[in-house]
Amino acid sequence: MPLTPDDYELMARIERRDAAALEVMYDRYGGLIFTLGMRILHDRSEAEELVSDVFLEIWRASSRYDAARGAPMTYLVTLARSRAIDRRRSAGSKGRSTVSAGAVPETASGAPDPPASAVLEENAQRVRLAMNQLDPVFREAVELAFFDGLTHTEVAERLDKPLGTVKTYIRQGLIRLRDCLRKD
Amino acid sequence: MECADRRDSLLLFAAGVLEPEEAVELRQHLAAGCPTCAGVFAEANTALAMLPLNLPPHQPPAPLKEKIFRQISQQPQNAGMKIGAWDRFVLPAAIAAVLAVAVTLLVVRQFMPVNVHAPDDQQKIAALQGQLLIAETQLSDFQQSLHGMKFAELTGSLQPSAVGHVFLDPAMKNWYFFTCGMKPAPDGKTYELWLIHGNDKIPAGTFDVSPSGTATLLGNIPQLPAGGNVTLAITDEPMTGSHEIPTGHLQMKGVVE
Repeated sequence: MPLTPDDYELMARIERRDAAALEVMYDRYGGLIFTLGMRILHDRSEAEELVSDVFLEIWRASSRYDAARGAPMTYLVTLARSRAIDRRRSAGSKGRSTVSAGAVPETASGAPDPPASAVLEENAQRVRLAMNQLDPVFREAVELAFFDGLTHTEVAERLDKPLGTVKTYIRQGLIRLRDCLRKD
Repeated sequence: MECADRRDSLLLFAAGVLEPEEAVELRQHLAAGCPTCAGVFAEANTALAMLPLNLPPHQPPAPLKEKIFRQISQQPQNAGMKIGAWDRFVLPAAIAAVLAVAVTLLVVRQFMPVNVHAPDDQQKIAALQGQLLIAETQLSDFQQSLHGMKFAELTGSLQPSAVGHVFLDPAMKNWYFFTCGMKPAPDGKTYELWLIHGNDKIPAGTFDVSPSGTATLLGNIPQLPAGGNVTLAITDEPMTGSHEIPTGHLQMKGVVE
């Protein structure tokens, strides 16, 4: 189901200082950014600050978004991940874990955009399928690198595997994931 | 290396797991504008951006949305606006051109020997004097428009061939920054401009330099307590900026006059 208005149109309106467009973007992706924040930061208040940082950044510096480089959702997630990893490294929030990554999903307290939820759920199914097709050790290595922002060496230490092996896990994991998502 | 050989590396680069030395070549290749690799890179980013969809979902609390939009409603309307081509390139060039014409004509008038008896020369002099009058008027207009503006020149030992200029317009509550001669940010880093007042270090935006070493930024002057100097500084920071405190190396700095 196509989203109306689409994300590109919303980003163009945000650049023209249309706060209502930003609100639609928030309703569509606020939950996803918060979820990503919870996974990376393991702390509810830090995740809330991340969401705030990302949407204020989108508002203040909307002209940085370049549609030629990817979809708005890609931009949002890339920005949020980068900000979250920076925040985690600088604040040391790693040690202040209050919620585990595998916590039970919470009841929505916001007002998610229903059509966006349907599109995201469809994409979520594709990713779930792709991740399930990965060898568990590849999946773990990819998740440690992507969500925890660990270097190859840190992932190797965490998994207690040789560095070369871990590089292969991450490389192969990412390639298979990309190829799975493309086939769909 | 062929573009096809870069395909998997671009995926690792997008995921941020490539070793810094491996990333340099890719960064340069992408910066050179290869459309094939730009497409591959965009595709890699798209695939990676879907990964969070596999996480157990959480919803932010409803008051968070109200808090964010309250902050947004309190910001000036032009915050974050894109710098137009005119502002970015033509206006500084126009100022420079007017100054150049004015200086040239003043030099001509002061030092060139003139044969006032030749009719052709008299016509040339009249034409030059007309141009000088226009240039002087334009210069005066620019000087008036610059009245009240504050300036800072930024330099630093890590950027020996670079200079940065910041113009602050208190009347419009805007600042404008441009630089030339800067080296590209280190791999995995970007540059961030900071406004420093007392113990406050306020992030004023991140920027990357063009292949020719230039960059521009435009922003709003924040509310600052009265008194004390404002220092402007540029540091290298992680790709999306530190946003909290400067964490990288000081590249250039300058004090607002």
